[in-house]
Amino acid sequence: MILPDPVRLAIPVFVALVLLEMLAVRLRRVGAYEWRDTGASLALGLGSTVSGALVAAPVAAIATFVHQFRLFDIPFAWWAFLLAFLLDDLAYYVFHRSAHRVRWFWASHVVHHSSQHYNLSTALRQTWTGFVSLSFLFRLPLFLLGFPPAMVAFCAGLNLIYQFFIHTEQVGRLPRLVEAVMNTPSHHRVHHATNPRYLDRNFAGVFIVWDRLFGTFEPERAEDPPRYGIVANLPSFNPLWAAIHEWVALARDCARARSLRELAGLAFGPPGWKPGDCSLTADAIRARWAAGRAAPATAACGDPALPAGERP
Amino acid sequence: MLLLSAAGVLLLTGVAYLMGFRDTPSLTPERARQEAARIPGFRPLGATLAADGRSALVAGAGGEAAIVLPLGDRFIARRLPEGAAAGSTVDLGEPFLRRVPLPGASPEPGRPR
Repeated sequence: MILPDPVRLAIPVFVALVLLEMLAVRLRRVGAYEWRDTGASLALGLGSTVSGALVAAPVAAIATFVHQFRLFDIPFAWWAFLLAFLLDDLAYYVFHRSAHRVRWFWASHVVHHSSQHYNLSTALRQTWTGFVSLSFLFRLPLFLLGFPPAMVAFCAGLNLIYQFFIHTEQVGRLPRLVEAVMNTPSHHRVHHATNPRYLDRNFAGVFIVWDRLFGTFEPERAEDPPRYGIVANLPSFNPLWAAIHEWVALARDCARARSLRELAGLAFGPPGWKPGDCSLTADAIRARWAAGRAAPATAACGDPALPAGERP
Repeated sequence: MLLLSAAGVLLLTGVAYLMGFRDTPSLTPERARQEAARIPGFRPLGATLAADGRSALVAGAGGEAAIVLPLGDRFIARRLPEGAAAGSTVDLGEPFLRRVPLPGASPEPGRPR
């Protein structure tokens, strides 16, 4: 069965809504755009589309290969699409949580968080290196279960389209039932925030229930408005640097590793992990914030010349 | 298709420019301290603004210092290496921060926030 690419079909809607949101920002004075930030986000979106097209064939080949070993023969039926959408969203949650907790995956995903703005153009700020990071591995269990690759790709496209709409400050809180079940603009603003309370929270794609189930949910609080970006925000709007900066930092850190254990920690530990007691992971930042203590001085961590900006 | 998409990127970016999304806000000492406080573990004290009001040196508890630099309508903050002197130029070890001029006067320590 041949299914359309829903993301490609949605592009005109994306463009129209970005224009509409710019107008809303001007009229309502809620939210913000910056023209170079928008340009970088859109360029990253375009680059992501190109890189995705370049690796589409090998990814499809891997999916088809794995599908040969399926446990069940799942047909193209309506119930199968619903189930695929639900399980694909669970796979997305696992991928997304890993993308924030494992530096290897973070090196690819960080680009999506590298804007200090949160608007619909931010949604289009996507990775160029997803294939390199092997993020497609997270969907392989669906093929093993028996979901046809075309069905999973279709559901993944719908998931991505849904997530476009929640990258906005124009929508406050939705009705309680919606906020309880669905990922919403409010929940996803928390995810994009660098406030210590909000770090590594709300990984959901479509259904926020995954975060509630697995203990990673945090509500948006009026007294702690989200500050968007990453812990050390990028000093440039250059899209190429946004796409590769963490890979460069990862390679440099790994080259300095003094043991295999350190190498493994730097590459596959959480972002900000350092040998000894010098880690600045999300958990460490949150714990120090909660305790009201300062992070260790850089000199005590054996690298006095390393500025904070070098850390994830 | 690629050319059309690239044209679309330029068009939307141009619309954002024409709609006036190109603010370059000035810093206040308080805003500079807030930006420096985003550096994990940095406890800002006093801030000294550069002459153009767009960047600032921020003194931290324990004798450390940070710089706050403009980026469009936002700011970025970085901890300075030890010994960085006001008025000098520092290399912060990042491709876009190789030669960062520091504001000319030493930041005045203030009261902890």
